[in-house]
Amino acid sequence: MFRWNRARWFWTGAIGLGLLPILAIFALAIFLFWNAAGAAGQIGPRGLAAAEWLPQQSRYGVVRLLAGTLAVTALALGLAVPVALSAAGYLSLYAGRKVRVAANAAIGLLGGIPSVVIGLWAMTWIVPLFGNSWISASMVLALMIAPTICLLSGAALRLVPADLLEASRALGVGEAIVSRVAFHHARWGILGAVVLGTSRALGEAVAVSMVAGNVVSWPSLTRPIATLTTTLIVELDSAAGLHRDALYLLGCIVLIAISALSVFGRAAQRKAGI
Amino acid sequence: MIKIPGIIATLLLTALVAWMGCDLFYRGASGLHAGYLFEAPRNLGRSGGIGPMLASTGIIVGLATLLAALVSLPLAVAYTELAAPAGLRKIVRSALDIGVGVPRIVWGLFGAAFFGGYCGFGFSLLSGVLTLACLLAPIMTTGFITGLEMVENEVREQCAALGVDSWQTAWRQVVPVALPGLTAPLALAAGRGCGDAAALLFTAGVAMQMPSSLFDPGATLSVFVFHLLGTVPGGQNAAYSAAAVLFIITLVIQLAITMLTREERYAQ
Repeated sequence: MFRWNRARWFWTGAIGLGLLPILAIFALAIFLFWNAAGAAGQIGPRGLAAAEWLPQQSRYGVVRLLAGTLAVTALALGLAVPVALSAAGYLSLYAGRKVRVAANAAIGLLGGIPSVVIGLWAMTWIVPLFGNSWISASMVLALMIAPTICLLSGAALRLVPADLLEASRALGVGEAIVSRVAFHHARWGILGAVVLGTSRALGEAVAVSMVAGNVVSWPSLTRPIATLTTTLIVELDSAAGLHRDALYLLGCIVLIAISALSVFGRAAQRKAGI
Repeated sequence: MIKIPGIIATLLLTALVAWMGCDLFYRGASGLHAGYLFEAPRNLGRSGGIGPMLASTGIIVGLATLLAALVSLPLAVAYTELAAPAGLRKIVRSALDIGVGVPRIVWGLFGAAFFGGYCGFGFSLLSGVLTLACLLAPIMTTGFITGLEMVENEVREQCAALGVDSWQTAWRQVVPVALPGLTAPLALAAGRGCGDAAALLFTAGVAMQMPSSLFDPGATLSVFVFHLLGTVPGGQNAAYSAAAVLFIITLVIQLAITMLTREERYAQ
């Protein structure tokens, strides 16, 4: 028999409230899948697998948008990962405590700057140099995910036991090997950081849409490019009927990719003990 | 090996922040004047102040943070303090991981259709508050869980030894002990809310009037900057001024997060 004492009543209330955010996430997923499935049914696999995304002519091929998203994200990772990991390596393994705390605060601030502000800065400095293009979009994204990757992989590197590093140094192997030992020990945490950074890059819409040019075409470094999320933000306002459902389909694709990355990234982090 | 590139990379990232801040103030200074923070915008936002946008930002972010905290804290406490079946915990954990990752624009899609369309709130502060609360809740819950897990198990064991029930243990002992660690997620959520444009653009709208009720539309500062740049020709100078204010708000919130994080700061 349950005894409905006070604690049980209170817990029931707390769980009732706590279920709401979980339900909201499920509702979001169901809503997107429902609308996306409707759109996919109407457009058909052949229509979706086409290159042309021309809503005016009711053509909703997603291939170029996917290519654009992958291209922008991949180049952004290529730019951000070396910078973020070397900064994290220096800050975690060599910098003094004061330098590390101050630099982490500044890097955290960079990560916290609103997308529109980053976008505005990029419109001022990056677009005049590189135009509305793939490379501009990737540079902006790199700027936004570098802090994420740097701080999260820094956390993983700080978990490397000091005696492990001292033991390597005692063997007289040189600092290159010492940092390799540290990075190897922290590999799961670093992998998690990079994967979570990737998922953040895939989802970013505002800043990228301000510099990408948003023209659906095959990726070319110096020409305008459109991604799944920029198409969403540019077209949602004016879309109705099948066009709107097709946009939900784009949202659904982003959601699936990001969900997989988030779960995998967090799992990798937990494996590293973060 | 990694030291020299690391120093350069660290300097690069730090310099970028400084560059952004200085550049915004340099370019935005012409639009800043006495009363800028309180006046209504004129000429579609090209001149005048940002009073209504600041009010909308305060209302939307304040209420959404409050609402998200109201559901996140019970969820986080139930997750850490109750011995739920492992399968259920895993579902909640995965849902939260996914929820943290869901992009703002996707929450915007959902909020516009569900709160704006289905619930009939249209473009309004209320739609914006509810959408933003959905977006912030997983982030906040994850932060709360981290804060609660840092509380030493001795607290719980001592309470159990004294025969205190789980509810009293959780709310009278564990939460108060964890309280300093629970403030950082609040600041983090407020920062995310202030910076959000994608989720609010299609829910709270781009109206520049002072809202008179929760059912009126109202642009937050971020949405205002995005709107100025995207749809108002010649809006760039005004955007610099508004973005400079947004930068200051971010700076204050980020400093608060760094101060409130007791361990060295790694999370964003």
